[in-house]
Amino acid sequence: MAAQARALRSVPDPLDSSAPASIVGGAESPASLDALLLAVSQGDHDAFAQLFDRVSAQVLGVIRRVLRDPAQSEEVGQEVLIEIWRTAARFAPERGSAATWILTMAHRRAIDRVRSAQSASDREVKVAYRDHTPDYDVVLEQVESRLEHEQVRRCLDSLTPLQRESLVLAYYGGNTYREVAQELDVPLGTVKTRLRDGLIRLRDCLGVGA
Amino acid sequence: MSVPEIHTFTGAYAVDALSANERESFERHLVDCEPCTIESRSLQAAAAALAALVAAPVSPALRSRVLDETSRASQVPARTPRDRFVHTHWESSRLWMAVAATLTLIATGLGVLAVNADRRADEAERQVAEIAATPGEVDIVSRATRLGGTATLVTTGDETLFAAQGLPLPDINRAYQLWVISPAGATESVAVLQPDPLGRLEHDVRTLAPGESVALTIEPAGGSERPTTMPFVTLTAQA
Repeated sequence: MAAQARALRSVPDPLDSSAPASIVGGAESPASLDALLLAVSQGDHDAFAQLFDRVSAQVLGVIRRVLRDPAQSEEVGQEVLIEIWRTAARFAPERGSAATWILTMAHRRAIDRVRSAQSASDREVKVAYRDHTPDYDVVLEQVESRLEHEQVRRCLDSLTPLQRESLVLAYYGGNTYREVAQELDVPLGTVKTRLRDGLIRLRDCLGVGA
Repeated sequence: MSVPEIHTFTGAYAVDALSANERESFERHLVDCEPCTIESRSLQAAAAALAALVAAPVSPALRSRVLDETSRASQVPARTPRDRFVHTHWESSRLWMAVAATLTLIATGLGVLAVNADRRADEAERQVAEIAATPGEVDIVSRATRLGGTATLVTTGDETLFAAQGLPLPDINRAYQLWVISPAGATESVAVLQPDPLGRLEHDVRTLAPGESVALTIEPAGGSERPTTMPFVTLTAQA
């Protein structure tokens, strides 16, 4: 029985910009992240090394932003990257891109870690960047990375300040929507709506997730 | 979470802003709600883009450690059809339920096919060791399915349990259906099942006669009177 493939609109994934030719070498077109992950699922360790070089900065970056602590971030980052190797066969292309799979895993792992570290009585809202989006943390050497960075930044800037604020508090701050609502002193429904509308706008601006 | 408002959680879910309980509830809901699933996935794609803004340098030491460890680490099996099934007589009357429940069997010197699914491996290994050491009568048959994952049939004197893990979620409006199939090919429905978000399911089966098999097919969501698709896994009880 064949799985019913959902029709996927083919749009360039901003997280999957092809590596520049100087890294790959030769005239061959560089492999997409999805192709690399498929090769990884079949045991290709060279493909994994290439995949590592393409995504590890973002994996580490998002974990570091949520967890704050550098040592823990390295530990969780290492776990996630190894898990990608181990469970590559579980990636289901019909559910989304390899980049989404990888970064969703990284973010969730960091969130689970930061929440388990907090006791119930000691739930401070991790207020971060209420007023502005994250700074440019690192000099991005690859032109492609800079381009995708600029594209995401531009799309994030197209959100309303309230949408951006909720997204930043939730995604980077690691707060639940209840914590965000408490911190901002707004109803739960308002936060949920801002998160959802903000992500929809971001999605449509970037042209992902179709 | 009340049902009418559950659709409003897709954004919070996509940025992991639900509590553990809420996330679990919501993921159960996703199994039955295709619009929510489609939207959640698309919003997860948008959320993942936020990682691009915070890329951090990776130390060479970390790179070495990861590449080194992965060069030695095993992987969960790829989804190729494999006919590796093993009959084995386990000598235990007690712990087979625990083994089936964790759905993780460890490859041991006794030669049982194993899928090491998660960190509960140590626990499962301990249970397997206990099973092997304790006399009783347990039969375990395990096999990779054509769609990925593993199915297991565990039989004791009194009970038979079918369990599977690593199954893909069925398409919308589809479900898995469990059958008993006689040697002559007559089919008898046992249950219509949905895997949990981790691809696991299990169900009791009546005591099987020699030569009877248990099989899973994909059917419309409400189930069918007779299988409408070929089984993607079949397990035959030890005679």
